[in-house]
Order: sequence, then structure tokens, then C-alpha cells
Amino acid sequence: MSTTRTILICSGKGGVGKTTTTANLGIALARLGARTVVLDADFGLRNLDLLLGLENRIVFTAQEVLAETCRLEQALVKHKQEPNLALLPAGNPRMLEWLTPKDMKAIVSLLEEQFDYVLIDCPAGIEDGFKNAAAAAREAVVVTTPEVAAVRDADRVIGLLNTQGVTPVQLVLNRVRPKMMSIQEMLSVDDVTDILALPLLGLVFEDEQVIVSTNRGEPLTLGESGSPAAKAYNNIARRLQGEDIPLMDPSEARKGFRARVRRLMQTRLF
Amino acid sequence: MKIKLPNHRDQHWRDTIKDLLHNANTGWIDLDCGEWSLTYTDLQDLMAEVEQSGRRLDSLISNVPDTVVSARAFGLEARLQRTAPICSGDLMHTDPPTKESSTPSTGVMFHQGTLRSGDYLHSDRSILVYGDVNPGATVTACGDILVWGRLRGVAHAGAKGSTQARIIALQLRPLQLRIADAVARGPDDLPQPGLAEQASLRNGVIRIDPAEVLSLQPG
Repeated sequence: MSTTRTILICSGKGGVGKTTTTANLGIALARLGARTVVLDADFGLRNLDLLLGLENRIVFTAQEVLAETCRLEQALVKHKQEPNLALLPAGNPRMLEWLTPKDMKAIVSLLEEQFDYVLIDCPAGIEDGFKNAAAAAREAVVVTTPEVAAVRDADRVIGLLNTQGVTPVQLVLNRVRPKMMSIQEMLSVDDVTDILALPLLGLVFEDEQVIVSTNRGEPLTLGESGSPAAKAYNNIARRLQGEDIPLMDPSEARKGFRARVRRLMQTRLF
Repeated sequence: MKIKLPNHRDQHWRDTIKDLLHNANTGWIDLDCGEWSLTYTDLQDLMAEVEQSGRRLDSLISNVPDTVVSARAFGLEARLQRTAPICSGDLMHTDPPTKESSTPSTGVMFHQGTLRSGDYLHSDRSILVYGDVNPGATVTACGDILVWGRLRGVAHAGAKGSTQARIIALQLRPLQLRIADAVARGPDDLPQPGLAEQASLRNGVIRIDPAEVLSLQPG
């Protein structure tokens, strides 16, 4: 019986940060010493390789592995700086119809022999792409943002995951803006967890550094940067490993920032 | 051609499905899942068996809401049927009389668990949901709808025209309420906590009041 944890990272709605979360979690887990592989199941519009800066190293995909035209080791792309992390693209954007849930299961069971964590980056939507990706997963992380549409879609996805016996399903609330939450212009953390009724694995604050790092192909968790998002992803990785780390409090974050500014002003003035 | 899965107390469907399919005529199949609670993965295996035998699944009926939800997730046409046996000539003669058939239906369908966005639950009787009904989910019943939790989706009581039907929830903040032919939007403001509310039809208009103790009338 393998102890590998196969985690589906999904959201329903597009653009909420599935791929960013997968990339950052992958790096964070690898840095904690876990042998980790990220499987890009969003092969129609694949861009996990872009975020990891591995686009130019892909030669084979899982498709060739299953067709036995190459070995698994040849298809796995090792990360440049983080040798514990490997990327496996599930398929080629040109071949849209080949994958079946059975294929996904076959790929994942191959990966489970070698890795501690298999993170599956799920495509948006709830159609075939999602069903394929979900077929192979044992547990799931649902990524959502504090927006009505994202929460609604996440709810739908959670319902579907429940019918497939994927458990546990945990929640990552992404792109939180403490300032907007404090003046109630954004759904609060409680609003979201109230509807979804899932354990909260982490809060990630909106962070411009994410955009910079995405464009560079270097996930935030790779560097020693103290950016809030990097901290959040590292915390999520450690919570996944079973550590008990308190969640960030959006109102505290805001107070902290204000207090810091006030302190700064005081030192200048007096 | 109609196929019925074996009674879940007698035999596992996985053991008999091959024979059942073998004995069925080729072509489209209507599957009666009876009391089996099938997950998405179960259904996937079941469909694989059906396809392997060269037959196609046309529609599915079940006594268990879970199975219907899984089947709908699959894109199948699925319907919930009442627990009381339907006496129709279509049923196989070999069908053994079950214990359930002698007990009369209670008039209330019970569903445990949260109904999430996209889920749809219907009963020809009344429905009791033990859990939340989230925005985007729909519950319809010919009788009353009771939610032991928060009702935030769409609820339609008295779906066949019963104007006596009521909708009761611990927290009644639905997107939309329907009783018989009347439609109302849910209230915008948050309710007083700890106060269960009920919606009923008075003079053709849906009104919300504090819930009152009532005896349930089967729809």
C-alpha cells in the first residue's frame, strides 16, 4: 500500500489560481524534502510548465509513456533549482481527445511508485477534462477567490468530488484583499466557509509579486522572499504535511501594516 | 428494455451485472438501480460493463438521491422514484417480493447532506433535508419542504399545485421560493438568528413567518 498522497487541485472557475497554487505548492513541498511531482492535466491549455520555467525542457508527455514510446524517467522534467520536484505534462495540446479516466489512473499509479506527493493541476470547468483529472485523485484542494461566481463554481465542484468519493477536500482561499474585506466590499472568509463548509487549508493574500514571478517562470516559494503570498504557500505546504500552523487573519494583516506605517512615521517625526 | 439491479441485501450488482446484460435484448437499456447508492466511480464501472456488452444506457431510475446525483454528474438522464413499488407490467416477474414493499411509504423523503450548486432533488411527497441547500441547488416537492439547515437555493413546494404546501427552514434565505404557481424572491436582509421561518401561500402571495408547529401532510 503506497503512502503517496495524490491531490487534485481544482476550482471550477478559471483564473482563480489553480496553476499558480500547484506550482508554488509543488516547490514548497519539494523544499520541505518531499519527492513531489506535478501533473499538468490541463493539457489543452497547458501552462504549468510556463510557471515553473520548464517549457523548453519538455520532450515527451505522459501520452508517450502510456504508448510505451518512452520511459517514465524520460518524460519527467526535473526542476532546475529544486531537484525534488518533477513535472509531467499529461498530454500534448494538439491531441485533445486521447485521455480517458483509465489513462489518468494508469499515469498516476506509475507516479505513485516514485513520489511522496502527486499534485494534479486540473483544468477549469466540470466537463471531461475535470472528470479525467478527478478520476485518479484521492484527495482534493479546491481553490477559490472571495467572489460570488468563484464560490458558486467551487460549490458545484465540491458536490461532484463528493459523488466520486474524493476525500478529504480542503479549501484554499486565494487573492484575499484584507483592506476590501475590512470595509465589507468583498466576501469575508466566514461568508465563503459558510457556504462551502470545508476545512480551510490556507489564505493567500493578493500579491503583485505573484504576477512578476509567474511571468519570470520562477514560483515565489522558490526564493527567500518574504512576500505574503510566498509565506502563505509555504504554510499551506506545511499544513498539508500535518503541521499545525495558525491561519493568517486578514484584519490582523491590515492592522499590522497600519501599525508599521505609524511606527515609521513616528520615528521620522520624533 | 428495462433492467433491474438485484436487491442490495441479496447480491452485489457487480456479480450479476454481466448475466443481467447478457439476458437483455440488445440496444438501449433503462436501468433501475433500486436501493443501490452508487458513486460516480461505481457508475463509471457500470457504464463500462454496459458498453462492453454492446448495449447503451438510455436512462436510470433509483430510490436513492445519491445515485441520481452521480448519474446526473455523468450527463445521464436520471430520475428518483418513490420507495413504494410501482406495479407495472414492465417489472420482471422474477422480482422477489421485498420487505420494503409491505411497509407503506411515510410521505416524507429524507435526504442527509448538503445540496450544492447544481444539485437537484425532487420528490412526489414531502422532502426533509438534513443539511444546507446552497445557492444554485434546487429542491422541488409535491408536498412540503423542510430544511434542517440553511436554505439558500431555490425551493418549490406544492409542485403539482398544492397551495397548502409550506417551506420551512432553520434559516430561510433562498434565492427564490415557489409554492404551487406563486413565485417570490428571497428576502435580502439577514434573518434574526435562532429563529426558524416558514413560507406559506396566503391570498395567492408567498408570506414568510416564524415557523409554527405543524403536522405534516403528505403531498
